[in-house]
Amino acid sequence: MAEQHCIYPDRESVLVAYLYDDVDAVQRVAFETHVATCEPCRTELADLRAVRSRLAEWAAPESASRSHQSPVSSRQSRWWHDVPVWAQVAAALLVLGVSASIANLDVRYDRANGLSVRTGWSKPAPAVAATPAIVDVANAAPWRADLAALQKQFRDELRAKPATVVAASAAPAAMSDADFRRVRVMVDESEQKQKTEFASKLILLQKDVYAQEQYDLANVYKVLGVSARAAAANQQKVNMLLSPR
Amino acid sequence: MTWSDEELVSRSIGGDVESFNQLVLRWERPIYALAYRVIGREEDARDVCQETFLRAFRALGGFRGQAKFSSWLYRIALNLCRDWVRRQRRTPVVQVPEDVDVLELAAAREPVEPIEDVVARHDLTRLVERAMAKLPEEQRTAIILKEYHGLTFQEIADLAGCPLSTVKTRLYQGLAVLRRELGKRE
Repeated sequence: MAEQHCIYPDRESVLVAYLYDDVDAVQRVAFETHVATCEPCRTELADLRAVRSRLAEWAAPESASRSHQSPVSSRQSRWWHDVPVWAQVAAALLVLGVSASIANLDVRYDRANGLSVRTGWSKPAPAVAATPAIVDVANAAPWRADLAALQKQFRDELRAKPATVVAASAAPAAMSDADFRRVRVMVDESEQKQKTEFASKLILLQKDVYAQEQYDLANVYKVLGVSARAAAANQQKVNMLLSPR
Repeated sequence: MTWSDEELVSRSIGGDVESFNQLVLRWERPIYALAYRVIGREEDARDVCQETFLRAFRALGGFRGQAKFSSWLYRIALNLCRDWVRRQRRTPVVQVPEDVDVLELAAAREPVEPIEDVVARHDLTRLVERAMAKLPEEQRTAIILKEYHGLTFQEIADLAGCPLSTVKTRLYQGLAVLRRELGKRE
């Protein structure tokens, strides 16, 4: 190595101290004078400064720590570390599936279009009673019927409410149109907010699953002794064979 | 009014839990970052961070002020990190398998976000993480304490329980390895 040709006394120690600007004035002047005429030291100093710049790129992630609440609060257990990765992914997909069915989501995956997600919010909910022939499996679930009945009962009660109020007092006969519109706007705003929040969470979950999938795939390639390039080529061949002509 | 660490410690010893919470808020981020860089796993780094403050809280009565509070905290955290590394008996820093090219892998999949974004976000950090993973623990710790926490050589020597000259040697040797490792990838 070129640096070995330099015989500056206690070279490594002085060089590190100079690099971190933790050196006294006398040593600094002496070393700077030396560096001006020593090519190996100049090169190494420049390289180590470059290393320090690279190190600055290593940012620790945000802690989002629980300890903000209290330093003496009980620690949450990390039990899921013991669960295999495949089980974690399966659990995540199960949660996604249940969430999707509750939110009336249409999640599809095929080779041509990849993963596509469409929310039921973007289209009017199908009228269950009017189109019984096209009710899908999720709609056929018993809880859906119960939910529909509950909604109907709730609507009936709401409709009946103004009449009761009229009978009990001398207040205006019913909620005015303006009131209805205001309530409607509030409900719409709330619904919109929920949609946005849910969509954000869904995207985050999707990213997590994708990242995990990539990492697992990399490990599988490694275990199988297959290079990523060969695996990608195989995948491309399979895709071509499977795609309709 | 902003209290010094030592004043907050005194108040905490006197039973003022809120003062200790202020110390936690002040030092949580550096301690977490230290733990993360040493052990390389976010969840475990959070646990180490939490455990550090718990231990500090329990041992406050024994803190005599002979060292800075931050040095005392660093010492607790580093001991916990060392225990964690020994207990886990695994490579301390997160790693992607050696023969896998992230860019290639991402290109083979149908991404949900642009490949460039995925790769750029992880690439720089991964390179440094991999290079750091090649260092012996004492060299890595010395570099982390100097580079990311700005401790003096003497403070690192006190924490590591070794002579000042050893700290400089560890730093030099660690940086030399990083220079070689990071240079390979350019």
